[in-house]
Amino acid sequence: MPNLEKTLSSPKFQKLAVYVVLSFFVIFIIIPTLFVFSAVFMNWNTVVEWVFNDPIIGDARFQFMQLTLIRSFQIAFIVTIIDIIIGLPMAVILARSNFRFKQYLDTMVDLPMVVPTSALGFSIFLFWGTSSGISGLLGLESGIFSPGPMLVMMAHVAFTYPFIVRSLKAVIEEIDQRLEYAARTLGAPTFTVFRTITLPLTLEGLIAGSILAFTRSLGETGATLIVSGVYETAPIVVVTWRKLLQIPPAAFLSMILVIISVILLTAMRVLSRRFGIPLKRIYPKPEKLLSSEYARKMRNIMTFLVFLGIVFIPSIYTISYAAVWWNGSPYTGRIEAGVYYQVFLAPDNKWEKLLSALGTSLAIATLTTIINFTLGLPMAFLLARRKWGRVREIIDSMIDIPLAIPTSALGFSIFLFWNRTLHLFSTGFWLILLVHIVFTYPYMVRPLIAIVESIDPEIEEAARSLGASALTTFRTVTLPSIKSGILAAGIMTFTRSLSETGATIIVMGIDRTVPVLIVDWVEAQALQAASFASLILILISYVSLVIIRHITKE
Amino acid sequence: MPDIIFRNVTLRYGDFEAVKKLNFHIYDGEYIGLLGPSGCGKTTTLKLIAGLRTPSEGDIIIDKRIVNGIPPEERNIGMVFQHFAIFPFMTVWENVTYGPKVKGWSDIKAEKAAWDAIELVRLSDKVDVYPKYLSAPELQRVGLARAIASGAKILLLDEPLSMLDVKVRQVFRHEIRRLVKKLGLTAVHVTHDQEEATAVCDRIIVMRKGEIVQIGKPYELYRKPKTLFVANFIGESVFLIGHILEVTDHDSIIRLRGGYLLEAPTTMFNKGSRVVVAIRKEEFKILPASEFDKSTNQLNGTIVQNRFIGFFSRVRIKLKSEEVIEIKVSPEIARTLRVGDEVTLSVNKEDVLVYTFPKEGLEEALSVV
Repeated sequence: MPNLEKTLSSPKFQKLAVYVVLSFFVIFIIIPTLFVFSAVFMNWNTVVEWVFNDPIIGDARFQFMQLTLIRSFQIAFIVTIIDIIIGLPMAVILARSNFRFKQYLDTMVDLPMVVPTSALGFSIFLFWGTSSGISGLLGLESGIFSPGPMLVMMAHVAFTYPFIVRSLKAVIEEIDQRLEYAARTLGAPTFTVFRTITLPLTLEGLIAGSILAFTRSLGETGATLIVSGVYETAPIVVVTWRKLLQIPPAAFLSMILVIISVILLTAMRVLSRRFGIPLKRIYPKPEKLLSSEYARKMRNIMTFLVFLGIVFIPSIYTISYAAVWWNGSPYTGRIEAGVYYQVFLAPDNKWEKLLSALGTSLAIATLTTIINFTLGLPMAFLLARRKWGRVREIIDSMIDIPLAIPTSALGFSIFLFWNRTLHLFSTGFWLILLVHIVFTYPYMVRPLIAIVESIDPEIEEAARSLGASALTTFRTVTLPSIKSGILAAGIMTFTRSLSETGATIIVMGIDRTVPVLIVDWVEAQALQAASFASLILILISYVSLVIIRHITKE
Repeated sequence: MPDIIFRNVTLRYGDFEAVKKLNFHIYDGEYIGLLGPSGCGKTTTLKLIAGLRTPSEGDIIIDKRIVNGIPPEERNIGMVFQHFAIFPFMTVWENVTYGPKVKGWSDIKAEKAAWDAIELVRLSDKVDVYPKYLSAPELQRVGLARAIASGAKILLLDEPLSMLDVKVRQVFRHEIRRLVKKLGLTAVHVTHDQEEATAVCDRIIVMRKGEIVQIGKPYELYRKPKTLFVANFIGESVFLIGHILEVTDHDSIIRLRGGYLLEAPTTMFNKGSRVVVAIRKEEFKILPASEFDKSTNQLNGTIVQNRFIGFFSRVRIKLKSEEVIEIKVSPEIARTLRVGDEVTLSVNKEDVLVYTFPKEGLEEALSVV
């Protein structure tokens, strides 16, 4: 082994490895992602005809695009504001308070992030939009919100909440708590400390988190498909047009979404650099009141209740639905309406479809994780270790692009590249795999970079000085010390792939993964079966989340 | 008048007792040191005074008022931090006026307090500078000015000098003391550096493993350390094991390994009890080998090492009892000593400190971790 590794450690092989990793990144990740641009420009005349000069409907499609884009922006804006209002106190509590069940609350906050979006959308639909949800508890006949803007908003709030809480919590945790102590010893009550010290220092994180939540809401596809009804947002229109095989306008809209996302992503990188506005005025009396023990208790209770009522319970409500409907309808008692009958006994054999979809999902998630790990780890090392200056910065910012783009637009771009232009892959399993590789790439590489950067280079230098070649050092010293981080990144990638909906719909052909099966079943009004499929995905995600937490804690 | 009194103060985290049954009284205007190895609970004690921690048991009294549940912002204290804790997004001026502002002082009063403090620490030309452009000593000056400007009568210093270079540290510590005395403040200075504590403090509270082991003036701690730990932590001592051979009216005779006899001015121990003797490393006199006459308070041996350190030398001597001890010798004398030389050591009986042999063992009793 050491001899082989010595050969492979030679500069020649190292150079080769660098080329392989970078080519993979460019050919499989970046070009397919941004291919929609060239597709639009190569077929500019067709696009113009479809979008602006349709012989029958004129520029009606363009009008509609504008309408849906404005809708998406409105939703994203309101959702972000709500997120900040309900997420900031939660981030503060998680970062600064110590209580017995904190660890569990922390996991609960993360849950909507790993729950497959279609399952999440379905769950929220059940909670807010049907008589089996909250309105049943209130004794109403039908759901509080019917599919449409309100329901889309509730889904997006639940879905983006973890992103904003996570990024704020990370920033608040990094603030030197001694600054807050210093302010208190100087006579500032806790609320004043928060407003004048903590908040200004959190501003970067707040901006970054807001843009992230905004982008996520703007691009959300899977959950929105289920809760939007006729109120289509831009990413949904991409899916609709793709299904109707109206390729040119779908490409055009995808391109617009990609442009917006890239702009927002750049804004986040620039804005979050340095941003400090000290708040000058201080209002001793009211702030002292707000700092009282009573006010703090109220804040904590409110934050927790809002989280439970708006984010957590709606997100996993499908579990209670499946339980209540398991043996039959809770209203009529009809066994045929129960989850068990619908899934396992009904003549259309839904469980067979579910089983095959689960097989596809697991196969794709496994392959995606393996491939992205193999090529993502060297990439993480390149970015963390090489002194490439500007080149590094550019690649580094490109990694996040698949994360920011609406999944339906992303899927569409990739579909155009591999299927429509190169004719290499037909829709189905392999194209789904390619799409999943692209959009989970950042989830794998991002944490890996952070982990690699955290390695003390001296332990590697020590191994080298003891006679180990570069590769032997890597295998025997570096890898073991970042094992748990790699595992966590891998599980994250796996979970994300397992739950992807929006892009998969675009490229799936006749193959099905579990999340899109849920969409199918909801559209076919097979709610019991959909709730069962959601339940299974939520369970898998939850277990993964617990494993990640366990691993990263050690 | 801000006296600070601790009565049986204990702070627990679960089963772990961070500090145990602390009792002390700090008088108004005193400059007090809290000294001990890291993890001894000295910073916790400071945080208890500041109100950043609440005692699990006992009372803390500041200015005749029990302050147990009172938050830091209502205690009228100023704190100076090891890592400065200067607000990074505020200028020096904004940092220093922060205290007066959050206390709701009028603008005129606030600005006057800030200016006075800034002039005291000689930072008048840096008022509009952001912290990232300041050096470490300047940052700590801002920290001082900020604490003083808030009108604090009690100044809490949490290892204020440990981030500074050695040379700067020695000057700065006197600067802080001058400032405290000039303003008539009560100061509590946390440090693990016994030299720093003895140099600036009126009295020192020595802590170990969450408990107070001794409170006293620096010289008292040096001359009359109450425990083996203090004898080891304040200054440097040689420790030798022996037993009490004889007790007379005023003195005791101790027999060490190798048959050496030491006389000590104590009658506290019973004949035959096992003891440890501590002698300051600088209290030994070196005499020619020929002067060894087996009388009391003499040791003899061979020099095995002679290292020049600066204003003294460390000389290691292997005694006839096979024990190796290290003593401090002035450079003029050290220059005449060669490795392999045989010498006689003598000590005054006043410099011989005697302690009961510790139950936990000598090493454990001396341990500074």
